[in-house]
Amino acid sequence: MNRNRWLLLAIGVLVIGSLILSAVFAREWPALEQGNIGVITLTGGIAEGPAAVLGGSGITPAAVRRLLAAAEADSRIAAVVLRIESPGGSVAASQEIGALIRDFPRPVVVSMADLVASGGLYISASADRIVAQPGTITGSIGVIMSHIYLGGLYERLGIEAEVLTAGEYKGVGMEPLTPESRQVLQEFLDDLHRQFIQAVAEGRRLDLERVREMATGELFTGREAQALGLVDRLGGLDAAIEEAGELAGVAYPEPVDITLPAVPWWETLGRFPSLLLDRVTVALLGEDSLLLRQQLELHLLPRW
Amino acid sequence: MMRQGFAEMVVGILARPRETLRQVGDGGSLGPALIVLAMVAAITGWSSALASPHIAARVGGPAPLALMAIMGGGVLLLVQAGIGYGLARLLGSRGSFLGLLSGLALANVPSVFQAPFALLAVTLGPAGTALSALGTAALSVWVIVLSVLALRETFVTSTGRAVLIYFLYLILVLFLAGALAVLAMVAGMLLPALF
Repeated sequence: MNRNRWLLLAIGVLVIGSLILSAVFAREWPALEQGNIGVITLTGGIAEGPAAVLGGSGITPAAVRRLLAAAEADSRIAAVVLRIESPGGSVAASQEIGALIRDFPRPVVVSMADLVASGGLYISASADRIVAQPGTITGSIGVIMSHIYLGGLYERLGIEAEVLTAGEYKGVGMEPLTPESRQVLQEFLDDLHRQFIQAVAEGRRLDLERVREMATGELFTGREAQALGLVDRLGGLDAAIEEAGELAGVAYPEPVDITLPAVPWWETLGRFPSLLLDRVTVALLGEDSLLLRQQLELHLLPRW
Repeated sequence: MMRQGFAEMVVGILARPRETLRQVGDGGSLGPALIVLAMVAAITGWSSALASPHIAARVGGPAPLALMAIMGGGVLLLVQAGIGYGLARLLGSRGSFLGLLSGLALANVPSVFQAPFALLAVTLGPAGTALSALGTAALSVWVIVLSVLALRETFVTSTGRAVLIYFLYLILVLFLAGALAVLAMVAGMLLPALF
């Protein structure tokens, strides 16, 4: 073997050896900064799929499941703080996230940011403790749904639409509301409202009747919410971390962020065609077309 | 001109850079040079992942980071060689584009020594991280010097002109990066407004 090959071998051993040793030591290295309280930030509307394009992606059951699983897989994490900023969102997605939080095997403390209302409160109620600022906006225990009748638009566009249905109320979303169909939808919403009230009462260990009284859909400040029993303590993220440490029996709580890998750039690029399509739609049909699409997406979709 | 073997090329760029770069300047060793670049990029990416696990976690771990380093290294090489070649031609120098590609690819070889620095960062904590940063900075200077040599030997030009081409390239890249950043900012402001 000539001198060059020996030198190459020496370089190879140095480099590969360093990589192997680094990998071995890295296991012991503070990949999670030796934190013992996992902090998960949940921001945006609650929905089954990503709610926004580019930037925030909303709060989805899939994301929460992955984040909590990451926290559970790390034995150093003694408790989790959920930093939440959410106006609420879809019903079943909130219930699924609520169940994930409730079933998490270690203590979970919610730190409410600016606005944690409706579905945001629903998922928070599943945690062991809730900490909010005095000025946090919360509450809004209610359900909302919109019904859009497109007859006028069809008429304007010269489209003659006829709806055929089997089942008395099957076409309730396609026709103008009658007193009977309105009653059916109201009962539907009332049942969801009862589910919301029950979840808050159970999660917060409050009297069902007491929660029913506050479940008018009104907003509360953090201070009012504490007086009503919806919040345990006033304070910020640090207070929530302290609370989590207390619940987990950790003398020196050290926060560590738990995050998902960033969305790969090629997935972000993949959304550009739909953005382009939107621009074309707006250019051809005007800004109202986007508003109409947004309304149609929410049509008969109960939210809290 | 005699073709160089893999070992001669890697050891040569570290021990006898001028001679090695002169020999690859005709472009005949492009294949092995690109393989060297891919290996260097993979090692660099992997080392960075071990030294900065938080950054690696954001892209899915060391393997994706190494893959991104290989792809990024390839793209950067093309951009660097393309701009460098264009500038050299504008300044009246003549040389082989493939030779420049080979030379600039080999100029990255010192980056493999990031691996021992990553080990320092992993084992010695903050002091190791500082040492690793210093070492990486020194390696970057080494890579820049070799890149200038690659330009000089490929175009058989003076050191001053090679330095000028390299720094004009840097200015152009910074300008392009700035323009891209501005575009990204504008897109970032406009696109969310669509929803």
